Amino acid sequence: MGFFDEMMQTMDLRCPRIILTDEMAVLENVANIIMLSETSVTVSHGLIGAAARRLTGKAPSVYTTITGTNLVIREICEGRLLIGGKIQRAEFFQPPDTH
Amino acid sequence: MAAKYSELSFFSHRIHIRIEGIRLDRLLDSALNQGLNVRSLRIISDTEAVCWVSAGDLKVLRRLAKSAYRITVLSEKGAGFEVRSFFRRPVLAAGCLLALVIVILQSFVVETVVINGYRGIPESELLQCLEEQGIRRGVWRPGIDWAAAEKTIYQRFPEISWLHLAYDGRMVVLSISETEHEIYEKDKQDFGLPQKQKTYTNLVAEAAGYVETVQPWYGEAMVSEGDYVEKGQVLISGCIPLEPTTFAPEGEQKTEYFVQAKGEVWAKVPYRLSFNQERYLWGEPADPEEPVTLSRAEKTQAQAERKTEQQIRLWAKENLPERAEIINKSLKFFPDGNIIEVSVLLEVRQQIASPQEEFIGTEDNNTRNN
Repeated sequence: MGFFDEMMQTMDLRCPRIILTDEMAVLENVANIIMLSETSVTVSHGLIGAAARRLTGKAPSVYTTITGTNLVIREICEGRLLIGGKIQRAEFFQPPDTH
Repeated sequence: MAAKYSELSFFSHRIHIRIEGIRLDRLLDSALNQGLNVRSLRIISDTEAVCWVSAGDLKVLRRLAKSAYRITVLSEKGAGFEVRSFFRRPVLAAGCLLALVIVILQSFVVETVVINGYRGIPESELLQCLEEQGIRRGVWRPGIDWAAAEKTIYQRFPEISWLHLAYDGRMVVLSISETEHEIYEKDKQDFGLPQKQKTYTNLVAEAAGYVETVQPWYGEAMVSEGDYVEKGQVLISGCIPLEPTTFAPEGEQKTEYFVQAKGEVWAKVPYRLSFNQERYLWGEPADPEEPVTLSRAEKTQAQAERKTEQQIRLWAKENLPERAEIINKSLKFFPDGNIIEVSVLLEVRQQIASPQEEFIGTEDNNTRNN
């Protein structure tokens, strides 16, 4: 990956970015927590609400689900979630068009 | 910068809470959007979760939760919280403060007195001199008059050419340097000053006997267990040979130093005694009006022995020292006319060491008895 591409990836606050190991997941650019359960955490990424609409013309549309066992959200702070536990699966998906 | 202060507030006072309600994700989403610092969030069930938040964030979280969620505090931690809760318990705080004061005050009390650099002067004399000046274990250090103590040591021990009296923590250290005593005396002689005749003490035998135990506290034991010592013989010498530890010329090296010898020497001391007692027991007449005709009967062996025991007890009370113990005795009876002569051989266990002062410098007294 070139320097420019890497810079763009880093600066893009809408895209989902995950650091993932088998026992830890760091979700960045988290806009909202969509769903929480004992075995899964679903969040949306991107700019939040009105700011997203103003800048991009659309609401956040990328979702991430982390599935596993013994999940503990170690930290929720400034758009970042640090999840511990036995991570089994990470899944990205887009809901139907939200325009 | 906001994150830094948030971090500090979290660790100064963090609260473990339980959140109960439906759709916990909504509340936590609001917390995320408000920038609250939520940690170790564990989903227990669909309607229950536990997590840690800072004290400030808990207020915001309660406001967000309104009445839709129930938030219960489980426990609290943090340095600031511990300090505040500590001072909320006045008895504990007072106890800790008292312990602190005791520790601080103890640091002002002398624990040990150490003396360095002495060679000819006995350590015990230096310690005694310091004790007279109020420098001993357990005294209040700020109350010590250091200058007066130094002056007194200089006056008491003229052979000290330099001394340094100081404290290090709870330890008082006296470091001294001695001059050669002979040179000092020679100087005094040159200047016409009166010379002080110094003395030391030997422990000598006050009775002849067989040594049982020797316990020299100060000085060097000159006899050992089982030795037979004569009266007046030196048992513990106050003249101690000194191994030279400096590279001074051979003639200038001190080869001995002097102490006031102390100790105990126990010995078995034989005593030969002789007592006399009447041979006959005299009976009185039954009727006082009758003419006096006294009846007499010779003492039995047991009666003679009882009388002798009494005489020995009287003699021991007057002649034996304290703590002396008669461990063996032999009695022999020699009837002669109206008397019985009793020959007694006693074996007494007693302390025989007796102090005898000697002058330093006189040729006879400094000669060691080997």
